[in-house]
Amino acid sequence: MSEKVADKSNNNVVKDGQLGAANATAEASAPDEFELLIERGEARPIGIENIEKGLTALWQAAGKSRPGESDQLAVTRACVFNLVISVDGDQALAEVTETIAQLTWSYPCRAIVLVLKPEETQEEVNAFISAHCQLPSGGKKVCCEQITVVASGSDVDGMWSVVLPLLVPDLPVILWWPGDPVLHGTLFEHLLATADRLIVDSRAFINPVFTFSRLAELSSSRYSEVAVSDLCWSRLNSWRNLIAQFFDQPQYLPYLNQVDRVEVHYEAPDDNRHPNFSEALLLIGWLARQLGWQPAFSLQRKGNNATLILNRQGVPLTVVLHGHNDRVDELGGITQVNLIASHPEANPDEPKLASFTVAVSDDYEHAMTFVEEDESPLASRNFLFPRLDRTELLREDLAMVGRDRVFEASLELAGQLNARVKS
Amino acid sequence: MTMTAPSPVATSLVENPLRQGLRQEHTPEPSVMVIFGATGDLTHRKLIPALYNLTLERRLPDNFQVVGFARRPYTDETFQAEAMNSINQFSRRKPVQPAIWEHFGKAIHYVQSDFTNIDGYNKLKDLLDQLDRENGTKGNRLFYLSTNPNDYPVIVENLKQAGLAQPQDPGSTSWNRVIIEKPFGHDLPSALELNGIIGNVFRENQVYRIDHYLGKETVQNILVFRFANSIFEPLWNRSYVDHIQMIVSEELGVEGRGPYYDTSGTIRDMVQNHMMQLLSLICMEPPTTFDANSVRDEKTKVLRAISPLTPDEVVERTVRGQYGPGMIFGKEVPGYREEERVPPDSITDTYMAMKLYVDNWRWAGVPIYLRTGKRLPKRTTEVALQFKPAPHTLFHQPGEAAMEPNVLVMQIQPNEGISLKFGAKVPGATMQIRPVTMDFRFGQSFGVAAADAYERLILDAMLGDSTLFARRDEVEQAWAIITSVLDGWKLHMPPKFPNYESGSWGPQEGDDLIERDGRHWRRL
Repeated sequence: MSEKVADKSNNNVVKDGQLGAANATAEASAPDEFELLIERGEARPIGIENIEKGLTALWQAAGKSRPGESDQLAVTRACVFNLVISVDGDQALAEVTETIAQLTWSYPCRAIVLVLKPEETQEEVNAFISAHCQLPSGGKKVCCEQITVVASGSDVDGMWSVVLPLLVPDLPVILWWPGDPVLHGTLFEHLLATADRLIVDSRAFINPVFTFSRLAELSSSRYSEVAVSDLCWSRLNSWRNLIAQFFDQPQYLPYLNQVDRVEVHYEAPDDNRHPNFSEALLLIGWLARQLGWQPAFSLQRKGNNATLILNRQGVPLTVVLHGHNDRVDELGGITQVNLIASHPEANPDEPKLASFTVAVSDDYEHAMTFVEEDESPLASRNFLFPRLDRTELLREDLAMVGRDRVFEASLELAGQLNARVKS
Repeated sequence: MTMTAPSPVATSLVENPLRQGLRQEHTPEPSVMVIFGATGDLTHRKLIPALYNLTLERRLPDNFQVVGFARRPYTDETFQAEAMNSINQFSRRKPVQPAIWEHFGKAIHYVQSDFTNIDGYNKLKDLLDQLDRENGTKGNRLFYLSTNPNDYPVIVENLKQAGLAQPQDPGSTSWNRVIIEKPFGHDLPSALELNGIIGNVFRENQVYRIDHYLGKETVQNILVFRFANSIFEPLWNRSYVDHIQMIVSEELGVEGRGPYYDTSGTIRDMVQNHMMQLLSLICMEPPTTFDANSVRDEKTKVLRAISPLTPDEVVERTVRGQYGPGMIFGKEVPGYREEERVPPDSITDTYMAMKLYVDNWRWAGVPIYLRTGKRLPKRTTEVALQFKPAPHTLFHQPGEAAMEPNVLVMQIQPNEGISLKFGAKVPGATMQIRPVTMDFRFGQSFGVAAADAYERLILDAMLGDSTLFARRDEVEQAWAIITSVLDGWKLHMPPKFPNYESGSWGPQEGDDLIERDGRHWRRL
């Protein structure tokens, strides 16, 4: 790529490692930069080769006491990992920038955002630096930094070479690919090779059947040294807890080995698009992994509904996915799960059936669990069931240090089930 | 991927296989919590909000029930209204959410009785039997004693009398447990007596002596900090540590608790429990496992290694104080003797400083200075390990102050965190060394609001995990130390009280205690 690196060295930019107007001293102009970068969080253009120098100058300026301010307002620069993000346009950039700013509360990091615009004809690379600061009550201002690299033209795949020298040494590298990820190609493979973790959100996959299979493949194949995570798994944390809670009670535990049928209700599109089963399949993959179920026969799909047959130690077990269209902003999201099981010690002629249900309320803020035995209600409970936004999902995901073996095994099984969707 | 799936559940029905990999603990079995002193301040401010928050987050089992037991002539409805009021005022998840309250409110019941009246306990038994039948709580009961400590013996005796509590082996199919609020006695003989009475009704594994300090994340983090990081433990001993300072200061006065406080003083209110717990966590040896008894064994060993003080040592190593009028945050505040319902000639201590030694291999000769008081300039709880100076002062310039020592500070409240002070070169041609601090703040690094200590501890008690509760021998050992001080104080006239001004860091004698050893209290 014939790289045209923009160093917009006009007024109030970083030039030669110094912050400030081109014809002013850094000392004199530092407060302005402080205000622009630290307090207003504005992004400043900078030449790619000057990014590290520019950041150093930025933090030096930020660390200086300002007239009339106490030491409490001093800035602490913090970084717990490198967060490399690839997005495909300005709208996505604005969204991830907001997420990074919120993430600073819990995970101050160096964020490197690649904005790739291969459809544009002009080949150009522009870079910007910005800071995200939070002021905990009674503490110092905690700031982290964002480097944004906007690349356009046909050769954006080479942008991995911009990222590598910008990584903070000795810290983990998290590769977050929001939206519909491209899980192949030169750029992806180079970035993945440096990463400790790949984060995607399978709910956002445009071609979920294909991309979800690819994700399962990545998790279990040659990239196995990279921990793969899916924000859908974070969404499933509450569901998994709630389902597990039923069987914390010793009287219900025997049913767990006798599940005959699982029904999962999920939000499906009302048009002709292929429904996104990823989240539902991940939940089934988890149950199957934990309870020793194996995929058996092909999936039968009719519109947004589908039926899968699994093998529970030689006994067929039916999984039904019911698609309905209540919330277009929650496509792919689970709204209800029912487990129906027979008691192992009941008389075979008079089987004792129990059903365990978790259902989201209409307001999507609460949920209810209920247990029925032979159609008699035994217990029910309302509780808070907040939907997590993207920042909260990321926080949940990042709370897991290292690999999540349960997720990986669930994803593998979900991938096998997904393969049957394809066939 | 080559992973082995877990065995089918038929092979083991003991563990719930769906729990694997989940960060949340399993849900306790259905149970009833009976709160004695249900109309009191602790129930109002802490217990009911904690139970509501746990319900909101679905940490409690279905059909969990609460029974309040107190003297006031309430009904179920008035107690429920009071509970709703508590949540709306004090829950971190306020206000009450109607959908949650629909279940939670119905699960709240009330029994009106005097604590001495056996009929009240029989009424309670009838109610509990009924709740067991209706809700499948199967006789699982958690009794929470949130009353005046003088009522503990009669409550426990009556529970036994009414057949509501009996010693249980760990393997019993149902459980009954008792949570006891501090103070556990007012000296060693009374603690022994109380433990004896409780021990006649409950086995030790049924008794949960609560000290809410232990439910705080930072206190638990002391163990993680020490035993999950390899770089600190090699320095954590007499070879490197010069001395330890612990401070628990409050800017508040007695806040209407005059009658209680005047019989207890800061030594019983703060030192015997919170500070002794902190001290044992700081000084303990690594436990073999993180189970309840391994941790508490090690904590108790620390307390055993602190010899009770002789009367002479009490004079040399302790200072007591009482606040007079003064200024806090720019406002005039009254002295202790002018506080509501406090005798005008009270000789109760509101400040205490003390020097202790842990006589074991690790800590021999390392002084541990404790300082606590009310109406000090600000609220803070910190433990600081001050390290010995570098063996050779290579960088010391004539005429300059000596280099400051390295200090590791564990801040418990209000800003929970850990900081390390060390020397660094000031940039320039000359070799100037200045102390700098490396800070870690929980709020900054994790950004997660910690659950209230009561929520954590109540849930632990329901789950049968007593790691964060004080064991009988631990309490008695702490009392042995404190009682030796109390006995020593009895032999001497108290200082002329009040002896420190509100808003100051305590009496001059408190400073003298440490300065006699050539050391200083840290600037806070």
